[in-house]
Amino acid sequence: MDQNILFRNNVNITGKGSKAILFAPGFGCDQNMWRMVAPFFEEHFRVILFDYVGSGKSDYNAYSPSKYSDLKGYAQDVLDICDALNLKEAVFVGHSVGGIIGMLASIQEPDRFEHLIMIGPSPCYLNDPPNYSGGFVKGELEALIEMMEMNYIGWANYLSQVIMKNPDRPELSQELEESFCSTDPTVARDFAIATFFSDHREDLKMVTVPSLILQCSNDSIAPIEVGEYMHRTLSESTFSLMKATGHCPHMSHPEETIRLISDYLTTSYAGCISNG
Amino acid sequence: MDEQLNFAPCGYLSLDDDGTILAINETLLNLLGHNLHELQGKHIDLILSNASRSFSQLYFFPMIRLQKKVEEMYISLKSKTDEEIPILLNACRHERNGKMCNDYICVPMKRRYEYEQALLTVKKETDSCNQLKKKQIAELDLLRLELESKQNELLELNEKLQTLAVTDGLTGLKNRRYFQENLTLNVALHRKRLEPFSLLLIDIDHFKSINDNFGHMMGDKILEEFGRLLKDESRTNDIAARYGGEEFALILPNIDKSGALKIAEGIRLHVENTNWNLPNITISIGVATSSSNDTESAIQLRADRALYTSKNRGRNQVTHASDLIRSLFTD
Repeated sequence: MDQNILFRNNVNITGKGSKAILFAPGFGCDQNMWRMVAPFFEEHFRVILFDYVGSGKSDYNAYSPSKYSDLKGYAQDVLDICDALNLKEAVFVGHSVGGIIGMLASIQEPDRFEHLIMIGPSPCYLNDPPNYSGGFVKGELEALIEMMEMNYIGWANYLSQVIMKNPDRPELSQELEESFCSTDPTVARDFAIATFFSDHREDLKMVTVPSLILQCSNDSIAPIEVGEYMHRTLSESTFSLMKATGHCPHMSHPEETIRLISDYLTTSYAGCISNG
Repeated sequence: MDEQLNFAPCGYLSLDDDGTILAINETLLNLLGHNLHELQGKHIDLILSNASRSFSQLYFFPMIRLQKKVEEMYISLKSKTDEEIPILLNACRHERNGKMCNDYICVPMKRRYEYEQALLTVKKETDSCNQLKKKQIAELDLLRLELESKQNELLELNEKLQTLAVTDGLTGLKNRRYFQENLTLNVALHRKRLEPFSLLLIDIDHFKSINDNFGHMMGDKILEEFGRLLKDESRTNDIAARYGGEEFALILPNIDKSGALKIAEGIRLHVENTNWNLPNITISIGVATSSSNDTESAIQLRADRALYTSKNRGRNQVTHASDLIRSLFTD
């Protein structure tokens, strides 16, 4: 087992089962996001949580602007984790861009994954008229990135690093350290650009692993048209429209999220058994 | 709503978990240009710009769920006339009457927004300047390394050229030019510090007949071998040079007449006794020792006359110029 990778991505493993289920956070967030969903799966699965390099408690020294300027860099990290843990046919659950990252990883090494479960995924955020509506025009995405920059969330870790050098005020560092979604500002910006200005529509056609798309109602980041587009383009995909609104059903509606994931898995395993 | 909260100097807003506006105060309604009935019971998206909507879902929402509070977040609201209003908000989440409520207060930050925009712009400029600087420094470093290696090459080349320029190609001894420069130096030193030096002019006897009988290749071979011998015989500070043709010169710093004669005789004897495995040779030597008010040409002339005398007296011998003068007088 490669301890370096596990340290780099702050990999945490719990659960009693033998089959692995991997939870990938969405943009700019860490594994805490899954705390209302992941524990449910501990009874039957080996639950694997991790942080992207540059966020959460990952190793910030491992950050490379060139590698992570593309989602493929993040996908490589997922594959590194699979390799370090020797995973085969794992269930991959990814929120938002996490779903796309898992999808890219599955194209590289399909044997690692049995199912892709994508919550609020989007292969392309920009509208590409007349045939594709991603939900955003360029100016809106730029405004979104500017808003991130203007907010101190993105600065939190940067500030905490500065404050950590200031022993007179240790309480500040502590507070910022614990603040949720603390991400280095440069990393956050690179990740935002890699996420929101990427176009992975062509990659959808290369996916062979079966997938479940969990689509929220009234999601302004991944609108329903985008979820439907993914369902149309991904072979062997299941589409499920949630009652949950917003972009984070695993936090706002954990019960519905858990139910839909376990129903999907139960159905597919039952299918396997009846076929076998 | 409580009168004080309704007209407090900050906007107040309360939402349920679905994002429906439960309450909003007059201050915020004024800021947005809306009436109460236009917003109460409506979704918060109505007063958020598209970017703010996405930003809230990406950042605000996870944060309030996990931490139950959000502090100092900047977003922009959308007024009734579609104007963007940058605000700074604080929010907290708690249970009220058995339902979860998300309470917000916000203050407009128009001036601060401009200010922070300017800061951000400057920061970006600084960042890109720094990056450019780093790149340029790296390029300069590369150029410096290249320059250094070129300079080293040049130095080596110069050294080689320098050596070539002062060396006799055949014998590896110093050439005539270097000899001449060194002689000038020694003459000057003598004048300045009264350090004596001696000069030997050496000629291989019957060299023309070696060339005639054995060919020029053999002649060259003899010159080479003799050059090596002369080199071996000379001290570190001595200057052994090929003077021209089969004539050689040796400058002996700090050597007076008797010392010079001893060295000259030593060389002569060495040549005579050496088994060359070639046609055997002998040499004739003329010696001169510097005197005050000497010049290069004067000492060369004296050494040359002494050599001429050695030749005349039957070769394979050493003559010192001062003896020559005395014998001229005694003759």
